[in-house]
Amino acid sequence: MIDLFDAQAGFGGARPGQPWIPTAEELLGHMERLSIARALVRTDFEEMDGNVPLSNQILYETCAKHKSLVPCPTVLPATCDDVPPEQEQINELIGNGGCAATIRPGHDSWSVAEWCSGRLFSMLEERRVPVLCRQAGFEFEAIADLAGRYPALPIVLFQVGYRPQRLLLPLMKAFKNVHLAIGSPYSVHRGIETLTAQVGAERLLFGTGFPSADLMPAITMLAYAEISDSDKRLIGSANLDRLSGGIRK
Amino acid sequence: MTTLLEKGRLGKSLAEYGIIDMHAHLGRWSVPWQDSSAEHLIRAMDQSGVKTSVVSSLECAGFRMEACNEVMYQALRRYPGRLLGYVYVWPGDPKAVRAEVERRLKQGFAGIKMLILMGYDYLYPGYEPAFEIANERRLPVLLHTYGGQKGLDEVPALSSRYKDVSFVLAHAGAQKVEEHIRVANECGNAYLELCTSTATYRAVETLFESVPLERIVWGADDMPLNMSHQLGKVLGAEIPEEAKVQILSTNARRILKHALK
Repeated sequence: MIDLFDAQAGFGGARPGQPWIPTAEELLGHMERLSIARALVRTDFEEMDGNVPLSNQILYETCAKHKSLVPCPTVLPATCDDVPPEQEQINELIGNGGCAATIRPGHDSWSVAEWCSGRLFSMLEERRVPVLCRQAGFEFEAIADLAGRYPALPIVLFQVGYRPQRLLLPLMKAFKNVHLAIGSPYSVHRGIETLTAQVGAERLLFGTGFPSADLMPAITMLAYAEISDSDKRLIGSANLDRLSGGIRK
Repeated sequence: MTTLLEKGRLGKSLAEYGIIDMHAHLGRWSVPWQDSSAEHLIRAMDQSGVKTSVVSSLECAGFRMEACNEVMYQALRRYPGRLLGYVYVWPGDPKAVRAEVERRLKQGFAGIKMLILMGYDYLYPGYEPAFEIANERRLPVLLHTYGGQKGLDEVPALSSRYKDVSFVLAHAGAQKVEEHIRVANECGNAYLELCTSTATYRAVETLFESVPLERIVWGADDMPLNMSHQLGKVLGAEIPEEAKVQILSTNARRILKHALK
């Protein structure tokens, strides 16, 4: 059985008009049922999350209680002095066992342009902290620009649909630091096979998409893929372990 | 006994279940794949052991109705039993619709496919010949009915007018699941088909709890979607094992009994 480390999961957020607030316990229940060993977790849903320091604190406290949950806190530029300085945010992430950082410039109202967030990305790159980006919140041009300016910064796209495949493939070919989490809605005919052949399995990370999505579809997409077992193991957990192991503490 | 969930987790073959995919496509489209052939779809089916896919062509969707169906016909001849066909209908010319549907049914097609994205709602008169033929012959008609888009609200009127058609409503559970539930409970000849890229959380469980089980069927929308990904929704659902088999196979066999003899 392939060891699975979910790079695309979360809990603790809410959506307008929706009473359900997904919990860590719900995620853990699914992980046990489906034999997912670990999950890199963000605050999700993000729609009503307006207090990043508080959400991160809750995330750290929850992950401290469950060794299979690894925090992926939100970071943002400290341009307005309303959040701790960038260095402090990154130190806190590493000190709490974080394996990656989430950025949500659209939701948190900032820009990945150099004049706005150059300091943040310089520090993330220097420490080799993987950065998770929800693709739906970005233009591909902005992702390419970011990847080009910070070539040692591991960028992990998630929530990529089936329609942008003509953009995703050349982006990943052009920028070796761009990775893809294969969770929902990435349901693409021979998507894993194509990307494995053209950019390499080491650029793909298993992910589910919980709480927006069921967890099992990403599992079967990987389990039945026409790739080698060693490539499945890379995607299942080894790639995320490699990226997180590269963080300079 | 190994469960469907366990088999899916391990990537083991599901061939013993005789799985029927009620929604698949052939041909090129805006989403790229390296090869537009039926062989590509068969390969996706073989990864997990899906027995049969009911296909329509996307590549000429729109005005090239005959060309679309010809792509299909050639594929059906190559893979009898593995591929069944929906006649794709473009309603610009009602006379052409009637002739094309009759011609393709003689060639062995198993149902009819309509796509609201072509700019005609399903009550448009150009579709009437196709519905009439489907009603006479008790055929399934696959309708694109993505939640929140046009199309679904027309189903109750169609259902009461064409009582012997099995209306297969594609993309149930993608979003606004309550709208599909309402229509399914209002229309005794409506079947909810599950394909969607989003894998909406607990959509299968919600449908299972809300509509008669015999009216939920599975489809993959491969291509462009990923068949093994779509299977995971049912394999991983927190519903009884027997219900999964019914969704993946039994219900579709009932709808397609005329074609699976």
